[in-house]
Amino acid sequence: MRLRKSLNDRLIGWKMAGGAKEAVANMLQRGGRNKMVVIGFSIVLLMVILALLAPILPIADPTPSELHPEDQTLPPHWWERFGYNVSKGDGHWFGTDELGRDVFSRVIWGARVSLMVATLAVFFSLIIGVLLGLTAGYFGGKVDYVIAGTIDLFWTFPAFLLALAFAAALGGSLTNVILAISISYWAGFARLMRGQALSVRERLFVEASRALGAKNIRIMFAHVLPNCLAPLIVWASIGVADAITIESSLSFLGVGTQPPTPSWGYMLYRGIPYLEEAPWVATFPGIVLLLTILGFNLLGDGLRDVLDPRMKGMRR
Amino acid sequence: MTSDRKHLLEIKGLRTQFFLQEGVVTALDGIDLAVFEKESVGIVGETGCGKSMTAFSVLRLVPSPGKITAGNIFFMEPPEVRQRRMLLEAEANEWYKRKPLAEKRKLVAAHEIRYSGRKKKAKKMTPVAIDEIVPPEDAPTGIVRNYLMEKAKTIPATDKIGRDAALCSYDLLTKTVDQMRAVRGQSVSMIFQDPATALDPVFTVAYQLGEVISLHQNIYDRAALDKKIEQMLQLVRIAAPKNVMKQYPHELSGGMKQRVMIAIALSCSPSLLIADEPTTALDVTIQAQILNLLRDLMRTTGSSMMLITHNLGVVAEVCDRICVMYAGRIVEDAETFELFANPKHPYTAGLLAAFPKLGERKDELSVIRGTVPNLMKPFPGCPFVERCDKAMEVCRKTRPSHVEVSPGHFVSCHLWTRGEDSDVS
Repeated sequence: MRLRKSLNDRLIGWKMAGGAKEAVANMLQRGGRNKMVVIGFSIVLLMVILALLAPILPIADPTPSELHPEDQTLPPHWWERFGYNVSKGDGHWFGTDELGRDVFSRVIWGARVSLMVATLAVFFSLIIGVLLGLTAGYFGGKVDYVIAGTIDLFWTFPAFLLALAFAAALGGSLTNVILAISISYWAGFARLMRGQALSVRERLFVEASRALGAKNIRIMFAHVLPNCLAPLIVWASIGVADAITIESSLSFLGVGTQPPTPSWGYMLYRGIPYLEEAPWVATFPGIVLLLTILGFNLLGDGLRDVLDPRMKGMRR
Repeated sequence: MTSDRKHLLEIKGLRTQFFLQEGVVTALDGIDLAVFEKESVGIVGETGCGKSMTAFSVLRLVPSPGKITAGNIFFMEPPEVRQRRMLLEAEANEWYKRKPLAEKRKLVAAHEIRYSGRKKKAKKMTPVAIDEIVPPEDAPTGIVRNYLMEKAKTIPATDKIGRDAALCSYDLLTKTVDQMRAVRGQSVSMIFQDPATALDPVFTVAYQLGEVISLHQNIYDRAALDKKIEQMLQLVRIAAPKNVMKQYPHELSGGMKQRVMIAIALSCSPSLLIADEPTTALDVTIQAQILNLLRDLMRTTGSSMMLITHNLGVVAEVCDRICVMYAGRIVEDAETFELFANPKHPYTAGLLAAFPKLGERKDELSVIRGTVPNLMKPFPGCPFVERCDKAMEVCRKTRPSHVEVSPGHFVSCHLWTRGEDSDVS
């Protein structure tokens, strides 16, 4: 408990105006008490650290220029208890794939790609969604009509199908995958933001700041947006999980990240033919993918409980 | 006695209407109201009589299907401009009066926006409808405005006063959106009924006060801003301003929140403060504190106040003058003591009678019978006629004019206009 408290103090040690400090401290404390947030955040943090440290970790080269045929489909060295012959292997934690590359190293380098694509895609769709949704919800009328129509147009298609179509049309590359996911994913943010703005703009403090001579743009960004932040944060963290799924699925189908860049989805795809004789090739990327998505989802769910003031006293 | 004081706000014939699917609701129907400098005016009336709409109209913040369709709101008009304008208006009235009926009709059709929000439709009004609304004597404000605009072309540019008067430069309704925004908060400020929701829940008190100050006074220096914020909080008698600054609205009590609201409203020392039922959401002991605070602040800062309330006790305590509103019209306007001692309008008398007195127990509280008329239907006569004990035949037919029964005491009731202009119809 003391450790967490000092950590809190350190985390909010940056200069923050007045009551914001207490608010953040309060939030951290409540977040720390929520099991879902703690577990989710730990998984996400672990993944992020591994991904960031990938270049300096003592792991094998994920994309070696020379392939060694004798290394192909070596089982993980600790699988001898399952009756595998591990005499040839020398310390491959997750074994090697059909080209003799270290799966563990590729999973970690894959995290780099997946996390970067997912975060950037969510970031861009957040920006598009917030701008359009805020404009639509705040002004209403014809503006709302046009924007809400566009949102519904995008919302009609499942985000994954849309991303697939865009990625296929644009051609597979990292930038194009980010672009495709952003384009297909912003509608959710816009919808959420519009709904929030619609309710917040009716509140008295909006009227009050208008009566005190504030411009529309000021009210929008200084009063309406901050009042809508909580659900956006939740949606964004769940959105990252979604984006990772979409990215992996795109790679799995061959329109996402192109080989030899390591990507979880592509690794899954390549592992399928070997599922019987070398299950580790597909299993480990799958497990890590699952864990990461679980982490983000737990974080999102937990944050919803933490950020919702009505759930303040409840134990989850 | 009122004529030698300086006008701060002068509302003339203000009409605010809501254009709904079901029809047109006339929320304000020809309001005449003046607020002098260093004066607090109370506006009293029951729910839905247009008290708050008056405030929103002054700030030009009438919510969406509503529009201000006639009238003028002169604000901070220099006396010489006002004098000149009065002359011009008298001239316009004279000019209108001398026109034959056919031309009056044409003028009304061209310049009056009455039954729809758009001028285009007004032109298509049926002759009967036009006939009904053509006023025989006083020119409608739309026509006066137009006459003055025409007149302004003949006034040389060097005659600044004349041009200002003819163009109604001090009319808030002629201001652009940007000019209006500068007026709000800086010259006219507003306090809202419910302080709990009028403050933004996600920001500290200091942030919200600082926002208004930096917005209107261009102070961006953190230290100077903090000092100013502290001063403002001290002004509204908050005991520990340094602590309150850092707090969020939900950490403050209702009275404290209202104090913060008042501090925000007064932070740019406005000439006019509009308080829209500032004590309704507070409990009784806090009400008295807030009212005392408001009264003292008005005295020390020398600004004027328009206090909107349905509580006669509140206005009696704070206001110099009281306007009683009923169904979108001002029915009586008098100094506080005069009004309480000598209510002329039957509605005012009924209101005062309905006010229970302390230490007196009645088996049945006295009420004014009936309900407020439907504002959707235009009524030719006095709006109070259905509920009035002293209603006469004339009350149903013609609208009573605003007459001065004693110095500074105006009333719109046929009981008092009789003998002067009872056979207008």
